[in-house]
Parts: sequence; structure tokens; C-alpha cells
Amino acid sequence: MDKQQHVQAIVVGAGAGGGVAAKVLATAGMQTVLFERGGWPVYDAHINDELISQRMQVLDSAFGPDWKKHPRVYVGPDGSRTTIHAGDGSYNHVAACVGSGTVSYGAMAWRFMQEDFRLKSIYGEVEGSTLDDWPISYDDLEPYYEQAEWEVGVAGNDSLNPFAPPRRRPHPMPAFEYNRDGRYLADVCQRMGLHPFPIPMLRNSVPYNGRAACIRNRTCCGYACPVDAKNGTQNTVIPVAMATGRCEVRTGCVVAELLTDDAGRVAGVRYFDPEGRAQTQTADVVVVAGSATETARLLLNSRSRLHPNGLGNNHDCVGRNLQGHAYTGASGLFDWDILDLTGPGATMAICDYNHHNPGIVGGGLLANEFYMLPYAFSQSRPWGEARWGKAHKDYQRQNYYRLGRLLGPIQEMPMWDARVTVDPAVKDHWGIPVVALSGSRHPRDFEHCRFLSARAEEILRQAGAVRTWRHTGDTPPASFYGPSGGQHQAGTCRMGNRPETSVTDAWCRVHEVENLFIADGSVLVTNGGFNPVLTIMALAYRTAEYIAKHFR
Amino acid sequence: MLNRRQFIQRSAVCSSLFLVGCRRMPQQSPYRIFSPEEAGCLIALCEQIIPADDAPGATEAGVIYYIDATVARYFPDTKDRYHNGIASLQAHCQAAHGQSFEALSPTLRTEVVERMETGSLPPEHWETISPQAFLTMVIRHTMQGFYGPPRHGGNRNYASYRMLKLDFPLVVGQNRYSHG
Amino acid sequence: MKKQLTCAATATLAIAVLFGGYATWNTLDPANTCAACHEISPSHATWMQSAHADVRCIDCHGTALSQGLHSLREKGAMLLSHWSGDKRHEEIRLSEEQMLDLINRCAECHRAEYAGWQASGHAATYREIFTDLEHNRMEKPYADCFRCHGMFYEGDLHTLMSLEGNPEDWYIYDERQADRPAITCLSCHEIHTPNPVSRRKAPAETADLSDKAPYTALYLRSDKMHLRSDRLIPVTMLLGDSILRTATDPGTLLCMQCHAPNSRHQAGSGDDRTTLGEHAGKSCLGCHSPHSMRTPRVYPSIHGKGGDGLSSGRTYSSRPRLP
Repeated sequence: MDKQQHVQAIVVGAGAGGGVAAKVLATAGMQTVLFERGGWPVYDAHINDELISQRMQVLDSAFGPDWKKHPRVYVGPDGSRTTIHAGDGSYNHVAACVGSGTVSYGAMAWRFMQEDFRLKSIYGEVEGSTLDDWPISYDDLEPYYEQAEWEVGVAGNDSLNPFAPPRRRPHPMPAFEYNRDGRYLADVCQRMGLHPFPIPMLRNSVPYNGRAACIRNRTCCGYACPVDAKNGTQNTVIPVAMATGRCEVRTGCVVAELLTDDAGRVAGVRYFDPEGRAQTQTADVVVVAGSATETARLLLNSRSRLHPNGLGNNHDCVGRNLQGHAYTGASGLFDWDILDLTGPGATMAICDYNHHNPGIVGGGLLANEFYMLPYAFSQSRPWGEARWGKAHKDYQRQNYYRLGRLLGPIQEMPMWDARVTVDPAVKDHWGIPVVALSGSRHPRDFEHCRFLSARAEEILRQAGAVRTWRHTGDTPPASFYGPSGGQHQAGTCRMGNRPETSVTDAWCRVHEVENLFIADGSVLVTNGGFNPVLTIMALAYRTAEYIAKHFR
Repeated sequence: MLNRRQFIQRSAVCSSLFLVGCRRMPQQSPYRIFSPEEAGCLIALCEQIIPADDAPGATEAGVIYYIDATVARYFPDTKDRYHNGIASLQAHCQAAHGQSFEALSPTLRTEVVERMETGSLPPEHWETISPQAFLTMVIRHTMQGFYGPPRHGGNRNYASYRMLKLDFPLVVGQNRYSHG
Repeated sequence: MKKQLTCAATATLAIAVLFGGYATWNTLDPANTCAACHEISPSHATWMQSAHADVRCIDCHGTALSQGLHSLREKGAMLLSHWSGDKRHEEIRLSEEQMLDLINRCAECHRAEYAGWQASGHAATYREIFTDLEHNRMEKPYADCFRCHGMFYEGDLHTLMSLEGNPEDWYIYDERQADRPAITCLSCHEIHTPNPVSRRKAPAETADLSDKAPYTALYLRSDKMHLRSDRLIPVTMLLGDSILRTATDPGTLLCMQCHAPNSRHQAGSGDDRTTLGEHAGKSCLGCHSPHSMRTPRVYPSIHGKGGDGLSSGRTYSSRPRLP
């Protein structure tokens, strides 16, 4: 095993959180190594290809990981164990490349609302759920939201959203104009007394940071941007980190284990380099940011004398409370072309159903949806429509521009038994035990989905849709009943003040390990009724600033 | 002494003798995993799933080439499901109608596919794969081949994009910024 | 001594057989050699019907020895992928270098066209396109540049050029690459196309022209193939909210792919050159000659506010005008 020269900081995972952390540490003067199991994204490898796009993954996953090298195990409600690959829905896939999901995401840039940090105080105990307050408040995070918005780049305008949390500084770029369905549905919402506004986006509405403005490409969510107008960590903070000369990005490197010393501190990582050789890298401090599933796996795979159940897992908390977002809402067919394919599709949102709705814990936003390309559209039908033949073809031809959709992520109720463990038998290409996913969802989630989808359907009916149907999330496929997660996966190393019920403290430091931090969705106590990326970035800014202050 | 040209000419004569032996290679099937007979059946089935009208159907869009190429490259495990499914379908058609599937009349073909979907075909020819499972797989792959991008062999000449009035390749110019 | 002689003789014979065999192989009817394989046969069949059926395969594709190690490796890889069953590299394409060599082969016959192209903005090099300071100060080059400029470039932006520091510091790594033309014959023409000379020469009244392939086809970098320009999808162009009358001939559809409007399809936006006013609906080729892009006169108002009214193919709005 080769040993690399000691550095001050290691960051594992170059996604939303890891990229931000590496930037803060490197600019603060710390010698940093940023590990990424994937490579740099190459636009030409996946141009506009719907079948390998992040949205479909029919033939392959354009942004990684390799289907064969990174298997997982899905544990069914009956205890059956199935080995699955990244194209499988129950895999709960997150892209594996520099930038990770921020290369191909839809780029919605939501701040969580003040209420989202205090769910238990506001709504009380929810039976069967580990619902809790965050150890920090919105005000603690607000300056870091601002930093993320300005450094990564967000276009938006909160003034039309009465439910937006307070902010000190406006968004750095003006909001995007609505597309045709956005404009139309916004008018309808307004007439209904709702409060539509343009979605804040991590995308350039004007040239920003030396890169181009958006060309309103219809293949946006699920794809990399052809003009580099979408802001991910791969084209913003990671290049800044590298330009300091203090951040080395090691791509194609799979971190297998966190190494600890006799005092129980983390000493570095053991990893496999692109040639498959085992290597060791030591550091003063380690930040793990591998996504809620992979971070938990890495901690659980790091066993030692002082940490026999895995790092930070003396109270059996690591990997628990896995949550994501049930996407719910409604679709409506119009008798006129409601779509104009001015990308990316989602432009208009309402937050009227986030909080303060009787009987609903949390709730969720509603937004007009990202466009579907023809294959996705061929799979999108109300129940009972023809699956094949002339009728299917006619539907396709008549309605491609006529399907309006309003969807949103519902605030899920965290579950103690929805969890990531490491499989005792199945190993990946490097011989490392893989993620096993097990557990279920809370019945309240389905209730909440029914609530939000009914509201969405009502709006579409008011808008004059000739036919509507709901996506309540309680119809098959059966994988839905498994644990939630998906690309919004969160919660597996939740923050908290008590080591008995949480993995990290309020600074995202692992309770039991003084120099080990986590900077991804794992630390989120609850996942909001919003896409979580800006919150993950803001937390990473806060955590990394703390590290720089105490470990430099 | 030979000059270079003569050398090449003479040696060409010698070695062409050796080449004659392998000159005529057997004509290969244009498909990677299907025999021409299997392909005939599958083409007819795909055409049922997306029939031609004033817009091209599965056959003209080259869906068979998509299925052939992607099964060979991405899903080699499903090869047998195709072989078995096609054999079962042909066995049924021979037994019930005395003809192969592709030789049936269009109405009869539609009827067979409808019965595959509802599971009302006699079960005796479908021991290795159920008609529903086979049809579902073929539908899924046909949709991918017809509506997916042409780089995988299907959707020839952007047939489905043209039908949906989707301008592909996307016509979009550069941004223009005012000076200053 | 005798043993050595025998060895030498055997070796000479072996080499002779090898080279001779290969020379013969190259002179044989391709239907009996490479095109006997299913990967190549469809392409071969189209070529047989094309106006270029008298141009031999090796004139464009070269032999295993025509470009030194590069072609040896390329042809070797072709064989390997064929026999190993590795289908990832099944599609056989020209390298950018082969494609550039091909321009010379085209020019042997199409001299006037070649000269016209060379004099036009379309002959711009990678250096002129990718290190245009005025452009780069406004926006950083991105992957989509290759959609029109450098369609055949085998790499991505980061292998082409350094984008560190300020626009003044950006440069193309390889000088040879920098001097290569970025828009070439194959950007707009497909060689393997069913467009036989015989049919072309037939008198217009009697010939069946319904399926006549046009002379042009757009190379799609995304799908790594050509699309006949008569099969390009016409775009509805707007001026404000009103729909404009636009030409839909294959030539205009082809030009519009790169001389394209913004996502709202507004005339004069982006790189659009839609004709307006009394010239509305006129084909690009009604005024511009197809290779030199020259026009008999300058009509400044034809293309609306976005156009500079000039015949040049140089579309970046801030470029100096051609004399």
C-alpha cells in the first residue's frame, strides 16, 4: 500500500457539499485533497441522449456510476435481498462525477423556510416518525445561503413569494421569465388567490462569473448544459479551489475506509486509485460528502477497536432516518398547446402549500414540471390508456405539447427503520461491502401526497384542462413502498445535540470523532418540502468555515 | 533485381492465391442477435406496437436495429427472452393459424397482440416466458427505439421527432450581449 | 550460413506475401473484403449508388499504412472490435485528420467549390474561432461551440485549449490544431448518399426526382452522423408575435442550423439571418452562392436588425466586416 504525503484536509466526494467544502478549505489556506470516484463530466459523452440521461437511465447512467462496478442491495419488506444496479429505481441513484448531481440537475435553488427547522416544535410528535427540530435555526444558516447564492450563482426574485424566509441581500441575478405554461398557470394561480412566483435557479439568467447566460435549452434537467450556463460545483467552486494551488482533485478514486488512530481520531483514508491500487492518504481533518447513502456506507465500513460498529455509530444512528422526496402532483391535458418548450420547463412555483395547512405536517411546493422528451412522454399516460398501437401513437402525436404538469416534493416524515446498512455478502468491484437499503415510508406521506396532488389537480382544472389525473404516489410500482431517497436523499447522519439520537453535532462534526465532519444531505434532520441542494451547499459553507477556523 | 513496383505486383499474384480461399465469406445476417426469420417476426410485432400511418411506424424508423444493438451491447441477459418469446409466438401462430406471425393478416396480427396483452392465449406454447412479459418487454424496447435518440440505431431520420414536431437537432443560436 | 540464408529467404517470402496480400486486398472489390462485414455493408451499399462510386474506399478511408502508426492502429482496432465482439467501437468513422486529408481529395475534382469555400468565412480556423478575444470577453467557449465549429474535433474543450486566467491568456494547446479549418466539406456534405450521377443527368421532365437526395446534409456531432438537409425540421420563425414566411428549401434549412435564432425563434436574434420585408421567404441560396457565400450586391435591410447585411459567413456580431 502506497502512502501519499500528509495534507491538512481531505474531502470525500465532489458533489454539492464536497465541492463547496473543498473551496472554503483551500481558500482558507489549507492543503486539501478532494476525492471523487467518478471523472470530470464530458459533455460529448451524453449530448441530449434521453436514454442515458439522468432522468431516464434506460441504457446507462451518463454521469455515473458504472452499473457493474457499483452494485447495491435492496431489501424487500419480506426480507428478500436483491442485488441491483444504478439503472434500477430502488437503487436511489446519485450521479458519480465531479459536480455530481449539480452537473445535470434542474437547479432549483430553494432556501428552506424558517418552519422547516422546527417541525417538531410546530407540529408536535408524529407517531411512528423520528421527526425532530434542527439544532440550528434558519437565522444560523441565512448568511451561508447568501454565500451559496452569490458564489455559485442563483437567478431569482423573492419579492413575489410572501412565504419566502427573510433575506439580507437579493439574488445576484434577475429571475427567469416564465415559459408559456408557467405564465398561463401563474395567471390561473393568481386568480385563485394563490401566490405564484418565478423559481429561483442555480442558472445564469445573465452572464455571470465569466460564463454565458442560459439559452433556455429544453434538455436541461437530467442533462449537462451545452453552454455551461448551469451552475454546479464543477464549474464554480471546485475550479476556484483548484486555482488556489492548494486543492488537488483526485478523480477515479474510491475511498474504502476512514482510518483512525489510537485516540479515536480520524487519521486519513484508505482508497483505491484509478489503477485499482490501494493507497493511504493522511490528513488533520476529514470531511465526508458522498451523499446520504454512500457517506453512511463509508462510516459503517470504517470499523476499529474504538468504533466496532463503524465510525460515529456507537448509538446505532448511522444510516437511519433515510429520507427523500415523494414527488406528487397532477397532470392535465389541454385542448391547446400549453407548452412552448422554452427550457428548462419548470419556471413557476407556489409555496402556498408549504406549512400552515390544517392537518398537514410540512407540505411541499408545487411547480410546473421540467419537459419530457418523447420517450419519457410515451411512458406518461393516465391509467387505462392504450399502451401500444395506433391509439398510443395518436395520443403521443396529439398531446406532446398539451400536457401541463404541476409537481412538487413532499416533506417526508423521517423513519427510524428506513435505513442504509452495509450488505454482509455483496461487495463492489474493489471488494468493499455495498449499501443495502431497507425500510418503509410513513403513512402520513401518502396522506400528504393526496393533499398536494388534489391541490395541483384543482389548479389544472381551473386552468381549463380537459382531462386531469393525480400522482399520489400510492400506486405501484412496489419499489415505492421501500425506503425513500432518490436524488434528494438525506438524513442518514442527522445533526443533533444528543449523541443518542443523532450522528453529528450542530457543526456537522461526528459526535464521537473530533476531526471528522459531514457535508452532504446526510446531516439534514428533515428534508423540507423543497429541493435540498442549496441547503446542502449552505451547510457545507458553514461547516467548512468552522473547520478552517479551528484546524488551520 | 526487382524494382519496387514489380515486387509488389509479383507478390500480389502469389498471395492472391492465398486470398481466393477466403474470398467469398458467407453472407452474414444484418443483425447481431437475431436470425433473419426471428427478425421478420419481431419487425411485424414492433409494427403492431407503433404502426405506420401518415408518419413512419416502427419498421421504417428502424426499431429492430435499436433492439438488436442494445440487447447485444447493454442487455445480453435478455437475449434468451427474445429468442424464447419469438419462438413461442411463432409456435402459437403456426398451431392456431397455420402461418407465421408476420404472414397473418393485419387484423389477425392485432388480435394476437391484444390476446397476448390480456393473457388470453392458450398457454401451451409459452412455457419459457409469458406472453404478457414478452409483450411488455417488446413494447418498452420499441418505445425506446422509436422515441429515443437515433444514435442507438432506432428513430431513423428522427422519424418520431418529426412526427411530434420537435425540431431536432435543436435550432438555437448563441447569446448576444450588448457591448459595455 | 545456409541456415541463415533459408531464414532470410523465408522471412522475405513472408513479408512479400504479407505486403502483396495486403496490396491485393486493397485492390479487390470491397464487397469481397471489408464490406463483407455487417458493420460496413450498409455504408458500402449507399456508396455504390452514390455519385462517388468511382472514388475508391481507400482514397478517403486510407489503408492501414497510409498514415503511419495512426492508421495501423485504427484499422487494427477495427479488426479487433469486429472479432472480439466488443460492440462499443463498431461504428467506423473518419478521424479528424483523415477528414482533413479528404478535403484535398474533394478539391481534386471540385476545384471551384473548394476555392470558394477557402475564400469564405466558413474556412475559418480553430484559432480564429476559439481565440476570438472579443467573443471570449463576452462569454467563455463551451461544449456547444463544437455543434457548428469543429464538429469533427476528437476531444472536448479542455483538451483543445487552456481556459485558465483571463480571455487574453487562453490559447489552443496544439498549433497544428489551431491552424485547421473548423468547418469543412463534411460539415455540410455526406459522401455516402444515394444520389447517382445517372439520375442527376436525366432530363428533369422524365426523371423521378421525388426521392432525389439533396447535395447537402448536416453533420450532427451529437449523433455522429449526417442528416440529409431535406429531412431537417423547419422552424417557425417569429417577429414579435407574428409568424414569418420563411423558406423551407433544404439549403435554407441547413444554413439555419448554425445561423440560428434564440429559443423564442425571434427573427434577428442569436445568429439568425431570416430574410424580412420583400425578401421574406427567400432561400439563402437565392442570393448567396453556396461555397463562397458571396452575393451579387449588398442589401443591408434584408436580414433585419441582427444581420450585418454582408455576404460573409462570419457571424459573430462584433467581428470586423469583410472588405
